This record gives sequence, structure tokens and C-alpha cells, in this order.
Amino acid sequence: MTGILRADYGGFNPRFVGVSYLFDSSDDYLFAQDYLTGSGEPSPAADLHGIALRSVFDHESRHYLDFLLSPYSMTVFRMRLQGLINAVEALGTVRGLDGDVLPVPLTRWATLDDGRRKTLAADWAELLGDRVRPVHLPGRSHDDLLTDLPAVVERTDHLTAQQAFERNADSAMRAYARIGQLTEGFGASLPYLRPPYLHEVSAYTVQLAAVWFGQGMAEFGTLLEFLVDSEAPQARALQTCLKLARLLEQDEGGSRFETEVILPLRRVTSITTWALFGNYQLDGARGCPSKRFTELVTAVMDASDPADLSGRLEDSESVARMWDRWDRATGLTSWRECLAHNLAATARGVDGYTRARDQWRGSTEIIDAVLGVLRQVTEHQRLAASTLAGDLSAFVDPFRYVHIPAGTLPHPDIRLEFRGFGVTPGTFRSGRTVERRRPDGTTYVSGIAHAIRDDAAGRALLDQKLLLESATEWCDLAFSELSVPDHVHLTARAGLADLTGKTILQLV
Amino acid sequence: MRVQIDGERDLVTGLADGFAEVELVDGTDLTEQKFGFAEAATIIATVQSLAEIAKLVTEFVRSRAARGTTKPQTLRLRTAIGTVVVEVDPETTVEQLQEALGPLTPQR
Repeated sequence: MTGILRADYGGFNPRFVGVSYLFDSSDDYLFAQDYLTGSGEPSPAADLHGIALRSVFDHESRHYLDFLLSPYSMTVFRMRLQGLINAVEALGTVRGLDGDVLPVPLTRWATLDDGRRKTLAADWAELLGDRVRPVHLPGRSHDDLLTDLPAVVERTDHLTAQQAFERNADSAMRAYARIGQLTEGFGASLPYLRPPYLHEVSAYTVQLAAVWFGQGMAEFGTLLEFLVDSEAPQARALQTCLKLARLLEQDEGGSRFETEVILPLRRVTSITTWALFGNYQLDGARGCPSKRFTELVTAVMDASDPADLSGRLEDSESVARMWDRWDRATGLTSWRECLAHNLAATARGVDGYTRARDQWRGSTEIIDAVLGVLRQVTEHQRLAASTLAGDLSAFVDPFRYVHIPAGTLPHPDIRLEFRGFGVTPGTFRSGRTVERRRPDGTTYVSGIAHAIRDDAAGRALLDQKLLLESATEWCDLAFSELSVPDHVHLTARAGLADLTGKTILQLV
Repeated sequence: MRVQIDGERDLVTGLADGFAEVELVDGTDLTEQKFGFAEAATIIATVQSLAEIAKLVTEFVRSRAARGTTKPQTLRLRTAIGTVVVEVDPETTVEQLQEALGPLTPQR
């Protein structure tokens, strides 16, 4: 193992509707593999790096589950699909536009005034040693991009290339602007309480429970100690959630460790899960998880007795009643209604894209992939909601959650990425491999994706997911401030130049 | 020329002190849920040439090595026309780094 703490052991980004695990060395990969298959020699207590390698699977899987059930997250996901579909259409028209330069990201370019655009064009001309003529994109204010317009499906084949570009680019930019607003969140007076960090807290609680049962108390203590001492935003979010949990915890426990650490930690998941159930469609900005969390803190602080807002985690009915009281205390739409609305909204999304497909011109590859993914998301949401309804306690108690039987919860497709090393082609007997070529001409496997449903339909859907991911990365690069993987930066500019016939210039 | 530089927080904020004109920006992508321990940071430096960056980075990495931080450092650099990812260790020379940064400026 490398032993060096890394910035990313795994990730969940709905560009790929599955989870990714990242390995920087073959030793790290084999260490994690031995643990997961139980084939390795018993090893002494792992350091933080080893603990992370062995528990990242539990962490990322919870992200997938929270993504499915959080109405707020699903709104962001639907915006992502809207952004993708319109961005693909817009980019398809760029070749026919006047101008020789496509400035990216377009969403930032659109908000620049004429003076700033001219200054940048002059800088680029100096850099390139030639005059540059950016394609025309009308200026827009950020607030304008955040106004809501009704969703429409319309034919654009009667429009000029410029008109079609502006129409589709406008829809894509609106989606990206909304994604930025939603992920930044509302009402989080503290930056570390932004929605993504509450997702992280949820995943940490499950990960810690998995470490407790799977690796041992010493490893649990190592990871927890790191998290309660760290100043990283996601760790500070956990520390804040623990404070609220201590106020709500009524059980006194048998030891100081139990009272101050285990019981509050166990209670945190019920707080984050309720916060993540916020629904932007029903409650607007108040549906933001950050806003819900801070309103819950206020309600608990204002309560004459915080016990009135607590419940017993081992009793599903008690958890449900506790959440009902939180809904009333904060005046927010009930969590039950938020969840039901979320499932219905995804189902409506399938219907909407099915209608859009009927009017689609050209290749339907992308929209078919969107439909395939949305159908699976719908199916997985229903399974997750059914498990939640059947045993709410197990869902929000991380120490019970990690024992939920396999097959009871939806499992995501997974991808392994190897960085700085490769695996010999032919090593993997199933899955979709990414192969790269060394300077000497030999090839190696730099990544592999596995469909959780390993049959023809599951593999076909995995292919669609990988296609969507690739298209989304290009569109994100062209339209948004969202980060894309290094290899995309290195290749997508050339790809976009080929597609559009323009020089791609990045706003820095 | 404006150059965006991403990397581990300690490295990037340390480098920022060496540039005459620099701004620290929030490069966090909140749509990406990553599990990890090292924190990242982003700066945008305005420089006259790539040689200026190559010299500053190699000197900084060597000074960190002298204080015990010898692991290779990964940096992502972006300009209007290109992006490169480089790994720099205390043995990397200014010339090697400057060559690796080539795609950040037009090849004439």
C-alpha cells in the first residue's frame, strides 16, 4: 500500500449513475480486494489509508441510496438530464454558426458584458497571434438564467442554426445555473452545511458502522478521531450534526464512550436522512437540506424540552412520529408527502422523455440512454422506498443499516479506476474494461465497470450509462463550471473542436 | 497569461505566495461526492511566461522536500488553450517541467 492519504478513494457523481472506486497502486487494489473477498491473510490494525480502502464501498453505496430517495437530489439530477439533452442539441448546431471560436464554459461567457468579452477576445488574439471571432451568444444575467420557464418539447428544424443554438443553449444554461444554485444550497449560513456535506455526513455514519463491524473498534476509533478533529468541511458538518444529536439523545448509555460517541453517532443518520428528504418542488428554498437542518436546530433549541422532538431509533413507529413532529415544528411539507412526490416525479420524467423521443430528430442514442437510466432509477427508488417503509429503524440506524440483507436495497453499478498502474488485459472475465496503450505499444486495463445485473439487459444499460457519462462530461466542459476528470480535459477540447469546427477557448 | 492551478491545498496555497498577481478561487465542485482526506485548492495566477511557473513550482517542491515532504505532487494547470496534469518531485528540473507545460501555450 502507498500509505499516503488521498483526496479521493471513491466518488459518486450522477454523471455515471453508479459508484466509482479509485486505486493509486496495485497494492492498494489487492489490499481492498483481499478484504472484500476474505481471501487475504489476517492483517494487523490498518492505518487511516487502509481503513479508507476497506470501507469506501460502504460510504459510496449510501450516497447512491440517498441520491435515489432525496427529492432534492433528484431535482438536481433532472436538471442534469435537461442540461445534457439541450447541450447536446446546442453543440450539434455550432458548426453552422458564424465565428471561429467557441468560448467555454458558455454559461459564464453568457453572463459577461460586451466590454469583458472584448477584453478577453483581445487577450486571446495576443496569445494566438491572430484575430478571434467568438460565436454569437446573447448576454444574460445570472438572475435571468434562474427564472423558471415551463418545460416544452418543440420542433426546431425550421429555425436557423443560430436560432436553434440560442434556443437550446438557453435551456442548457438555465439547467446548469439551477444545478449551481441547488448544490450551493439555501440558508446555509455555514459553508460546511451545504447540501453535499450533509450527504457526506450520512455516508460517514454508515461507513463508521461498517468499520466497527467489519474491521474492529481500533479502526473505528482511528477514523472517528480523524473526523472529529478535522477541519475539512464535510468533517465539520459531521461535528455539527453530532452536537444536535446529543441534544436529541435521551438514552444515557452505559459508559461515557457510549453516551458521548456511539449514541449520538447512531442518531445522526436520522437527522441527515430527514434533512435530505426535502423537496424543492413542494417547499422551494425551504426544501433545501441545509435549510431543513438549520430549521430543525432552531426548533430543538426553542423546544422547552428537546425530548419532545426525539424518538427511539430501535422503533420504526417512533422514528416516523419523531419525523412527523419535526415536520410540524418546522412547518415543512411532511416527509411522507415529499417521498411520494419524488417517486411520482421520476415516473413523470420517464413519460416526458418518452414523448420527447417521439419528436426527436437524428440519432436517438442519447435520449434512449436517458430513458434506460431513468427507468432503472424508478425501479431502484421503489425498492428503496419499500425497504424504508418496511423497517424505517434499520434505515436510519447505521449500526442496523449495515446488516440489511443483500438484495433488500438497490445496488448500484460499480466502476474501478486504476491510476498510475494498469491490469493485464484478459484478467477480468466480465465487465466493460477501458484499455490504454503504453508508448511501447502494449496495452493495459485502466478501469473496469460492472453491471450489478450481470445479464444482457444489465450490460446494455451499463453501456448506456457510460455513453451518458461521456456525453455529459463534454457538455459539462462546454457549458458549466463543473469539474471533469483529467482525461476529459486532455481529450474533450479536441473532440469539441472536431464536433463544432471551432477553436475551443477556456475562460480562466 | 492567466493560469488556473489546482492541487493539494498545502501545495497550492504555498505556491500562491510566490506569484506577484494571484487570486484564490473556490474550485469545489459540489455535484461530486468524493470520499477522501486530502483537501484541494485552486488559484489563478497571472504570469508572463511558463518558465516563471516552472521555476517557482520546482523551487517550492524542493524546499518542501528539505522540510521532509518528499512525495510527488500532482498539479493541474489550465490556460485558455490547454490543460496539463503534471507530477512534480524534488528531482524534477525547471527544463523538464517547462517542457511538460508546453500545451498551455500555442505551439508555433
